Amino acid sequence: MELKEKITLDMLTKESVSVLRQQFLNYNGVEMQIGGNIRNAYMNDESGREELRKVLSDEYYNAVMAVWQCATAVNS
Amino acid sequence: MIIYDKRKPKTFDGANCIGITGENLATTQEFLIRGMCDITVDYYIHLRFADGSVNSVIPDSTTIDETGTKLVWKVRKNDIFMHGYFELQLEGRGENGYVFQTQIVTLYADESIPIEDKEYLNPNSETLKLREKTQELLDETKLCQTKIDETKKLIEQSDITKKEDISNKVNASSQITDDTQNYPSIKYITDNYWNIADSYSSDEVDSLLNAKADSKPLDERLTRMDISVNSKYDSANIESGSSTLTPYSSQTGKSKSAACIYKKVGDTVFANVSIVMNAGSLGANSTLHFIDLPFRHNSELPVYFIGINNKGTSFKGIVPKGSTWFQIMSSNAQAYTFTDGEQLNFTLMYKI
Repeated sequence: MELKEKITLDMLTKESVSVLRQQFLNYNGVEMQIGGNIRNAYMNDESGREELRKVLSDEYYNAVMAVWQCATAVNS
Repeated sequence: MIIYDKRKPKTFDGANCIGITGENLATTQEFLIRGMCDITVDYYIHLRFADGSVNSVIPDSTTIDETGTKLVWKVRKNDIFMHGYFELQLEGRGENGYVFQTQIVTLYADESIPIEDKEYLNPNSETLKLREKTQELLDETKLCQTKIDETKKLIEQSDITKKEDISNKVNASSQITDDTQNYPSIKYITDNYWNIADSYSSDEVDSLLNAKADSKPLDERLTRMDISVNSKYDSANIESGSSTLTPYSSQTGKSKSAACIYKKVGDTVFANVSIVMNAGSLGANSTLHFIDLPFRHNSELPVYFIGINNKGTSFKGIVPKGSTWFQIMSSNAQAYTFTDGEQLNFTLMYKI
């Protein structure tokens, strides 16, 4: 039985993102969620990016930043 | 003359035949009943012919003297039904039911009487009735024959090849073997089609449908039309979960914990926030900030809310427009001192 976390980058816009975390267990080939949904939203500002860096792996962080950095570059 | 000693015939004085023409001219027959002198008796002459027909005639004269009663029968052609031998009997009926009958004698009705054997000129009433009945039956038979002839003619004129073969009639769908030949029975039609009294005409259906559509409220009609996928309500648009809230960087020591339980329904989020405070004070116009709400408040207008602590003191808060954080402050614009472990609860509802 393998427990794995599933992260969903939800409602990713230039201004914000809502990150959904879910735990799943694979039992006899069937994926079953363990626990509830854990969600937090972050703004595309200095503190938001800082928070995001702490909570997301590089892969997911970079995905968000791919949208935010473009927006930041445009704004600047 | 035929002479009777009372009932018994004794002598035939003269010929024993009667006739009105030819050689046997005997148009009068006389009878003498010796010993019968009752003047109250009425007499009849009964005749029975070879074919079984009977006739009764009344004597033309009756004479009573000391010797007896003398009867005279003037024979008329209609008295005789059939030539040949016939039987004759005299009968007398008197007062108090008295009946006198002589024995039967046989006479002969000569052919000289112009009557037909085969057809009675003046038959008795029984024969008349039979004749009448027979004529009625004959007329009826003729009528039946006419109808039979007419029907026969109709049949002969009909094309028998057009008659339906009874083996092609079906009572159920399972009996259909050739839909170009089979035809339905009444049972088939009754089982497979609505009675006209139970069905609707096309005009009635149109009228009913129009009335049904018009009577529905707008919301229901819009729901049916599914005008907006985003507003469509299904289980995919509902989510429940929790969030750990983070105090603003400069206020991390003021609270022990901050979390919320949320439920997203479509584009609306309901969040129940619970904050456990450390002992400390909050200035009259100071605020506590918490970030990392589950969703960003996606509106051009801020959302205001009220909360309460476990002591009953109320606090107010705001979720600014377009933000993922909120701030709270004392609702009476006065400073407040939190005790250790004091709990604050807020319920937020905002649009995402």
